[in-house]
Amino acid sequence: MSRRGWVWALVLLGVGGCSLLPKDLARRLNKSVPVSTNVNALGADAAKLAEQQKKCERFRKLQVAYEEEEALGGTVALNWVGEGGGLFIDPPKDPSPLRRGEKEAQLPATPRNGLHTYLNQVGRNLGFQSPRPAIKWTFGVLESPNVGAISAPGGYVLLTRGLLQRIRNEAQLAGVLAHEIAHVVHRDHLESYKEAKVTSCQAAFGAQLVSQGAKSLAKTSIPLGDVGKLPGVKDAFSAALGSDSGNLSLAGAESVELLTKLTELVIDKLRSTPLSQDQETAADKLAVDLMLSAGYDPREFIAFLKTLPGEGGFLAHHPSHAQRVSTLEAHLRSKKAAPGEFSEGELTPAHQVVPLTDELVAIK
Amino acid sequence: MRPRIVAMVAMVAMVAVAGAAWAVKPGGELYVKARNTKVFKSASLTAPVVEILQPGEKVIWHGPDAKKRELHRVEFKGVKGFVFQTALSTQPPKAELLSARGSTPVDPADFVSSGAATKGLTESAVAYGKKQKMETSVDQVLTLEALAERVGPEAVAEHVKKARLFPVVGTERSGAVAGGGR
Repeated sequence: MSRRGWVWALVLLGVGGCSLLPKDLARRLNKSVPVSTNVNALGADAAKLAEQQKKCERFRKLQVAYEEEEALGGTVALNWVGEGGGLFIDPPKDPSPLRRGEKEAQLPATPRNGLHTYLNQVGRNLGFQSPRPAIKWTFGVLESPNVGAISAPGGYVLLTRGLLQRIRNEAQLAGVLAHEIAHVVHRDHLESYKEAKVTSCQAAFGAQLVSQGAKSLAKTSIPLGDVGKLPGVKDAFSAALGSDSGNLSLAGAESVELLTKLTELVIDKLRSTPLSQDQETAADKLAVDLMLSAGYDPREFIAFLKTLPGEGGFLAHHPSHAQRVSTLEAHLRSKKAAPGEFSEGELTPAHQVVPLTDELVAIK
Repeated sequence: MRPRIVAMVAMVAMVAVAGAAWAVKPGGELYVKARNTKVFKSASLTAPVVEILQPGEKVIWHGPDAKKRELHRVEFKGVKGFVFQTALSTQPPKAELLSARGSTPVDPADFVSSGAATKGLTESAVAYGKKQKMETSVDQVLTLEALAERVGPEAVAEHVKKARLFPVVGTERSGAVAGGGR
């Protein structure tokens, strides 16, 4: 199995390919790009350069604008789709209208596309009542037979066919989708992007890469040290540093080189280290809250977690299945509000399991 | 007191304060969390709709209806009515930033009207896909986005009705909410 294939298989072992994110990324990157290592070499301009590099640190604290998140999310999603064996979907024979941005283009009415419509009905219902109700939620099925789910910034949530084949009812499906929605809501993936942005910004302004961590970061198609040579990159970072929002313009085709570099850094990080246990637990809890809100029985999600493949290896970074189940059962019990106080939702007999639809039965 | 004990006491106190801050009693304020939240004239999902609210809007909460506990009495800018319980939250939605608006967060309603949430794969992402020889993935994702975008609040409400889930996300039209799981 290729390195990429191996990593993907690991990712898919648990609900939460989301678990790819590095918890030590910040530490590694902070060490990797000293901001004033080349002061002597740069003579009179050194202080100005060092100041510019220091300013790049600001990106770590600023919220990422949606347009920026969307551009990155698209490229990350493309990578997940490629590594997941493609989407289980039927594009039109002539995709040129879609490529031109004609969203009303005719799409084939096939069972695969019907499955995606259904998946988006379930997923968007959850997304529209999540703490990020207005973003563009997009739910897809990957061809991969492995068991897994993964999300990307901007609202992309992808499940594998292998996972769908284990789903027993719509409540379980909703639980898995809600867990991934939670990672997007919490902007977990964007932490690694912020670090990549700081690093690239510093590299663009001439920081030397001295540590081992930095050298490994530079093993992408565009070495970090060359970021400053990419067309328009210095201007893009200068504009971002000069604005209140710190937004980096990534949407236009002219930004493709910079977007490529940032995507490579982010993907590399997403592959190398999982999310923290705290992030996974927070996603599990929000998943239960979303299920309660929408009217699904969250005990089905808990039951589904018990059916996941074994722990250990890459999953050693996750809470154990038993711990996840125990945490969620306690969370569910805690949802009962005090008399006279508002309750956002607690388990009632009205919460549904919902049988599998024909679209899902057909995939099994 | 040892430092560790002091820290633990401080943490317990903070949790208690936070808990108290989230506990809302009648007369307190809640946030609308779901898109197109309908305010009904009376405690019935088939009653006339007097207002449609969007995420982030604040209402005054007056408690659940005595008989239909899932419908809660609210007041919005002087308009009184009933809202489905789980369309409300003690916490506001997450703020979104749009580059065109600088560092000022936009509320979800403004965000929707900005059109930012309908673009999908950006020009740069499509160019990235070509450069990385991912044309097939690009076409698949474009197809997926087109399919997903056709699943708006109306299609969601239709599915909710069929599955007997809670009618939290409303349709964009006024009128009674389709569905009703209880």
